[in-house]
Amino acid sequence: MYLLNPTFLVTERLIAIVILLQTFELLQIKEAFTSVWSWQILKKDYAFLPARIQNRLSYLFDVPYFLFILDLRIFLAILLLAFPQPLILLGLLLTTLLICVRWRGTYNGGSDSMTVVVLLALTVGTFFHGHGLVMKGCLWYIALQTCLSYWISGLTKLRKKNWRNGQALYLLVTATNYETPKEAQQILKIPLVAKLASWSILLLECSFPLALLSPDWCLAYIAVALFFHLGNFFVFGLNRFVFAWMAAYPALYWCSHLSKLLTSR
Amino acid sequence: MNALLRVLIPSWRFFDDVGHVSKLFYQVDTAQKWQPCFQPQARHWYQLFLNPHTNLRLALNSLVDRLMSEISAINPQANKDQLPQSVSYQLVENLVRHQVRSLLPKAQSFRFKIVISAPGTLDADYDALISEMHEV
Repeated sequence: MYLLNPTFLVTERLIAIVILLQTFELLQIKEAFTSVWSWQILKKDYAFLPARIQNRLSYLFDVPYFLFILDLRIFLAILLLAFPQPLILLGLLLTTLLICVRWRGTYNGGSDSMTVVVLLALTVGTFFHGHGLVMKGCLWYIALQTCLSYWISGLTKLRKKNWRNGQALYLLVTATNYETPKEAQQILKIPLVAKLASWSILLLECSFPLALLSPDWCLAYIAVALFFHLGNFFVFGLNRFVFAWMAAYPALYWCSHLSKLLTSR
Repeated sequence: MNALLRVLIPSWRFFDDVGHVSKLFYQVDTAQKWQPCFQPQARHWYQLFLNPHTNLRLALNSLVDRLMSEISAINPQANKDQLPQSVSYQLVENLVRHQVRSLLPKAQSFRFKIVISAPGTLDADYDALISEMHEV
């Protein structure tokens, strides 16, 4: 059980902070719950359900009830910082899923998915506290999903010619709906820089599963990946990804001690 | 159920397809020029921790992309009457209505359009959707 419990504890604290930040953000845009994503429109997605169930859903997703879910999520995240109990994690998992359902999938794409991956594993792991095999399985689930998140993303890009020659990255920064800094646009105008930056991303993402080979490699990959996520924040504004993936790294690091795990009882 | 599956089974595909870009415009009077729906936002280092308005903008752009992918999946001519009844269309309509109300409180009606561009290609931009007039 080499550092199994401390890894759970650190991950629980990190995900609590991630959830607090995410929920504070949602509360700051609460006007959009009625001005754009109004439940009166969203509920048409559930028209196939019996009227009785549709009415019940209104008590979850209509405003002000939905705001209670956000408040509850903040309360549970604060509790998790002090008391990492399975029911608190279950509550956080359920409120996170409800929030995603109201956004018709996810609000912020991959960062919501990674939050759910970590919460799901922690919830199962804490319900089976003391069952080493289940707890290890939960950490492996987070670690493998983390590796997959980079690897799949890298492979799908590697197949595209415009990613291999740097053009896709240049277009992503200059011609899409992301509001990117002028400096990034200027520097990626140089084809060699765009190609080098593109291949750096491809190399990091495609080789990321190697992080599981040893703790030293893992730390190196985590450091580079953090730098990559910070870059994504400065260029594209994707702040949530930094913290959601940070919450997954302790499990990745724990799993990189594979050789020690195999010899431990 | 689809919404739940979308979050429980992550796709982990980020930025692999930099093909088409959907841009949303509105017009409050047919004689006036089309205006971009989104205004540029400033970015600061402290938004690393809390970045609600950029993330909202990303979600709104995803909403427009989703409407476009739904339009691509149907024959818009055959379903012309049904399109304004779709959830994605009405959410985009709400989004534009909210923008118009906050920027032009005296406007009576508006319409919106989605322009598709294919950066990096020789293809010209084209209007993929022009809505009917809607009341503010």
